[in-house]
Amino acid sequence: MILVRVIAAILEGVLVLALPPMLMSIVVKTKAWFAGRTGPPWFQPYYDLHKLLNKGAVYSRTTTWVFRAGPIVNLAALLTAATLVPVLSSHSVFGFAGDVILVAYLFALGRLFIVLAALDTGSSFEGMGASREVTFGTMSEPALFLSLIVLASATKSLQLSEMIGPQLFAARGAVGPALLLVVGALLIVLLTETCRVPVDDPATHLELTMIHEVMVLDHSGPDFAYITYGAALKFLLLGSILLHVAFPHPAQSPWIDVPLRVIELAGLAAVVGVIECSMARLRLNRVPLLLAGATVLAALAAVLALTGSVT
Amino acid sequence: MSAQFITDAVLVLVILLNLGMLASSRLATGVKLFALQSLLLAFLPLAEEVLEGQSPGLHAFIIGAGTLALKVVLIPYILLRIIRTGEVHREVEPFIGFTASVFVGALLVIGSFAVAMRLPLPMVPVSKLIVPVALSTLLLGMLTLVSRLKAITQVIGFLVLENGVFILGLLLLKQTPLLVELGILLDLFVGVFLMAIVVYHIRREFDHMDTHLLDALKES
Amino acid sequence: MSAILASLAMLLGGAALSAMLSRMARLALMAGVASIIGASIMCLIAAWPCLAHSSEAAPTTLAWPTPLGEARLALDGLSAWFLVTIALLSSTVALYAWSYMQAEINRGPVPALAAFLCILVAALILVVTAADAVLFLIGWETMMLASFFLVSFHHRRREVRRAAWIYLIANHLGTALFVLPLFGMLAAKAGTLDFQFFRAALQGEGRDMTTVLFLLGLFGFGTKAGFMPMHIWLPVAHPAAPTPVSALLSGVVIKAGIYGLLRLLSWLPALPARCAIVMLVFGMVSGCLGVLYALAQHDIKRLLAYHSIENIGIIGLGIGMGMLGQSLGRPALVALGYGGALLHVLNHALFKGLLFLSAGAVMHATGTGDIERLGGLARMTPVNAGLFLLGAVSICGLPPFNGFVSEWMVFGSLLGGTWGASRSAAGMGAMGAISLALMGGLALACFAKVFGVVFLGEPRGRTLQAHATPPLMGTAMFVPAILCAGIGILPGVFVPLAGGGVRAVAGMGVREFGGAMQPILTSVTQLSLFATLLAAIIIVLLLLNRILIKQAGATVTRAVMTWGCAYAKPSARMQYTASSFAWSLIQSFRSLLWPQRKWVAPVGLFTAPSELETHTPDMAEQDVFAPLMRGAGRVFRMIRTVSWTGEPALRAIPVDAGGRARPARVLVAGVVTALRQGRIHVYLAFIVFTLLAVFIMESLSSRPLSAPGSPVPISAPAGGGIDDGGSK
Repeated sequence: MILVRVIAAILEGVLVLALPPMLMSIVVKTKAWFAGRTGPPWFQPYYDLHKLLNKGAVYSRTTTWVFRAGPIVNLAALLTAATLVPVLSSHSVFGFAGDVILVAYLFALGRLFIVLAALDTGSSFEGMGASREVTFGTMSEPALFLSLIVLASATKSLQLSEMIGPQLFAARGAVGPALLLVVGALLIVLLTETCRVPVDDPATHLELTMIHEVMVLDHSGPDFAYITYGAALKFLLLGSILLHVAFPHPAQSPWIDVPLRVIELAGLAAVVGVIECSMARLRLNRVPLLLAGATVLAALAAVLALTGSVT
Repeated sequence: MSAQFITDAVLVLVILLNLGMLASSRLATGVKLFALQSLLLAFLPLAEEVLEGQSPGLHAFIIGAGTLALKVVLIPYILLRIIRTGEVHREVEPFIGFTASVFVGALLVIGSFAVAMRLPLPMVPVSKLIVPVALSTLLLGMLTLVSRLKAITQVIGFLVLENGVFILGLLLLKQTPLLVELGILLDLFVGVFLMAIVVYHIRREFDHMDTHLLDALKES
Repeated sequence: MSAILASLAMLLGGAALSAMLSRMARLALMAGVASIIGASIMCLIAAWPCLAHSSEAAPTTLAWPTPLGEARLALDGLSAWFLVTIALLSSTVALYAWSYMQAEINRGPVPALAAFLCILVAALILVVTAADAVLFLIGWETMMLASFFLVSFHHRRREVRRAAWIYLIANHLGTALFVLPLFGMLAAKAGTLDFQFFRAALQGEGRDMTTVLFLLGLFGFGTKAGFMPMHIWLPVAHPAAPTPVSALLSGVVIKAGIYGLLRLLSWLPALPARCAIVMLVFGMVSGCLGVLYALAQHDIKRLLAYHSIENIGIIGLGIGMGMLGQSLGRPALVALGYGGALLHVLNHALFKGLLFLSAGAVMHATGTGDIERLGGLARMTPVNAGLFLLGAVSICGLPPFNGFVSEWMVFGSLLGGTWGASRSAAGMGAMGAISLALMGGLALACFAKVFGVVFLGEPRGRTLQAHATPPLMGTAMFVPAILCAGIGILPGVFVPLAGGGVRAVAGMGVREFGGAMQPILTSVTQLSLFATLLAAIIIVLLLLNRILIKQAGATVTRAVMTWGCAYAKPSARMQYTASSFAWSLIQSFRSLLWPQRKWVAPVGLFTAPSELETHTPDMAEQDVFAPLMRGAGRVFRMIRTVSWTGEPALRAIPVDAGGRARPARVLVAGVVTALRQGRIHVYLAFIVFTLLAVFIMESLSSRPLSAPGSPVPISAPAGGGIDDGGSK
């Protein structure tokens, strides 16, 4: 019995690690279909990663060890966080009371090192991207934590796998519309943190308008593969949190749970693709308003949940 | 998805629309959001009766229909027409920045939840959200009145304020005579109609709709 | 106990020796440094049994009488915790000062510095071990005077003298107006000056009395600790002082204020919840504004000084949740709140000490603390860069270092407060949690800015020269660095040590405390697992990276230019500066900060030199205290002219008014003009304000909707019936 569980956990882990590039592929495919094109092959992101991993690297003479540490620490922080986030089933590999704060701070650790690596190049483009990244990252923090407060007070737990697991399914009636507001807030946080339209446009070719892409201009080879994979992994992790809140599942067999979650993740990627096709990137000075909106959504949810105004 | 959940969700949506009006930079968007809010509110009297386990009565039906006709169709139509023919500046020009006013609005909402919980009520409301939502709609309407420059936005603020009164009136649906409610609706219409005429003339005389340019005749 | 007496004796001896050796500066410095390190070791020996077994040393009564009784020293868990903090940081600083001060030996009064350093450390030890009001106040005053002389080390510079005076005046005002009356009231209640009778004497006090005592303590000790808006001396004094002194000021001297506050809380019976709410609000304001101001600074030491205010805010949040837990009778909140606050006291001393020392090494190497002129130091002083980065990661509260552990505990208490019976606790917990999250994000932005601009990229000043960090300075910095990493990786070892302190503050029994602490320890121990996991993954990824690059046939290309998007001639002056990096955040918070921007924009095809400069003056200093002080100065001058006639001997300290648009004045002027001009919006606003006032009054006078005795909504002001469950 235990052996079966271990094997299942390993299989799930492998699936979780293999999934992120596919989500990126779904986003790209959706956008292509909207534009009436076929789009690149389904496995293009995997080919890209393979290509990058087998290339050499170029380092500017301005850079130091910080530049090389950036992608590594970022990916390591995300992988550590991945052990705490329930992605496909309702369980995470590890978990303890208060791990939700660790997850949030691991994301922040990754961000710090990516930003420092960008600043290490001494290029004004990358400095600009870094400045925007920390600005919007900071502004999305209150929305994220307010959402977590709603979940924590609904499930009376500070363990992420309980806050968005079957316990949330049991508590969803008591939280009512607050949960919908949290979903809205988390969607905006997801789009901001993973640098997608309407905050950032990953497909643009103008350095002046990009945030994430302009920060990683100087990375190449395996370093860049780490960064690309890390961005996709971050999308998967934040997306899973969003989906677990949007569609809480009751405790049920993993044979139903896991395929359902995979479908939901694909759906989320498609939704992000649709958003990218249907709206333009916001002007930079309008982004704070969007993030303020996310904060207000989450704050309203917190007020509803904490005052118990919903029956 | 109980009727209760839907009512609560609608009331929450009403607050969100209020905040959306504070955040929108286009006059026309503001008007459309107001129309949407009124549309949601028009169905609330019916929903309330359903929640209380009665079949919807004529009273609730008439109020709903009146709201629909006036606040969803007629008044937005007039306002949108003015904006279209105005053609001068279509952007909202706030005193307070958009982000700041959204945050102030959110604070007012939190405040009204805190106040509403302490207000003594004669009867148990259908939804615990009615009083706080009504208060916050009132306050946000006032915020729009105070913080925006254009005459049109002030009209919108006034209308939102009235929506707040309407939500509060839901508490007293049974007790209020139909005549009073219809009277309020009529007053509203006349008010907006007059304001529309005034705004039209302001624009024709001065080629703009900024109220703060009207205080040139000050005593100082 | 005798170890503490020995350490005090050692320090006084060291001070006397360095004063006597004033002709031989090097020897004097050595005497001071040696006695501080020796005394620190004695302190650690004295404190260890107290922390490890949470036993209490019996109070020692000294034979010699002080003016109002006998001198008494005592050591409990709380004192021991602060003693360890003091010992660890002062020994590090002493070691560092030995190397750092070599350059000053022929230029400044180094023997005096050594003597006053000894006196300062002795006074700190006295403050945290005194068990008697008179001895405590003697220690408190000595600490203040010693640090005044230390701050004015470069006394020939005018701004240093000004900073020292501001430091002295602000702290004395705090002491005279709040701390002295506090002890006066306590002594009057207890009929004695002995600390051990205070708790019993206050047991039956009413809520109003305890609130007054708490507020006196908050303002008095808060001035020392640097809570906003009593913080104004802090950003002025830190940059003016020589680096070892700034590190001590920020690391331990301001913690004496926290110690005073916690000691006071240990005497007071459970406080009403409104006190806890006041504490939490102070914590939030200090934390958020502190880090925002820090983000806007361009002087590295001034920036770090504002970060001290932020961290004091975090400590304040922990203390506030501890108090709230006490008043609600929830031991888990008490343990997490006070525990997190105490741990953060130690952590902040370690990482802020490290950062100040590292910043001092930067200034030592380059001769400037203006970050806009620095850059690329990671290539010139790699060890120092690594140490600074470690400190930066710690202070941002990021795993796997120590800042994360204490912030995690404070977060735990804040989030834990959001469920449970009390709505006021829920609201405050939620607000505290989002402000802590915001602080975390802003601190990250700020240290990305500092580290990125100072250590990375290319030097921005054209003539920047840097020499390597002297080995002894580097060695000294390794002590706090290792501890930062150690506490972060093995929190399960260090967190229980704070237990004695928490019990002393909260007056909890061993069993009750143990029950509350158990789940926390279980979780905290888990953090080691993740620190290890993170390190392991980093190593694996690093090796993978190496192997892959090797496989690719060693096509690593070095020594090329940074890709400038096809621009072929980039120069160091094109880099992002600190101003531009922080501006997008600063201007988003402009309504809180009122930053000023001097911008000469480039015009035309052949542009004249353009420039951009941002500057953010302290609002509390410029708009509250400066006018207040000017007014007071005017009054005093009037009194003086009445009695003496003629020119006053000491001119009032000139305060730079600078012709800046002052927020307060702008607001008042705006309202007045608006009133006179008859704007319709203003009239409407008045109606709204009146309505709001009626609402609030109405909601305060009516009873809550729910059953009597049930909790009250979040944001009801402190006057109404805010629950004080468990205070009886």
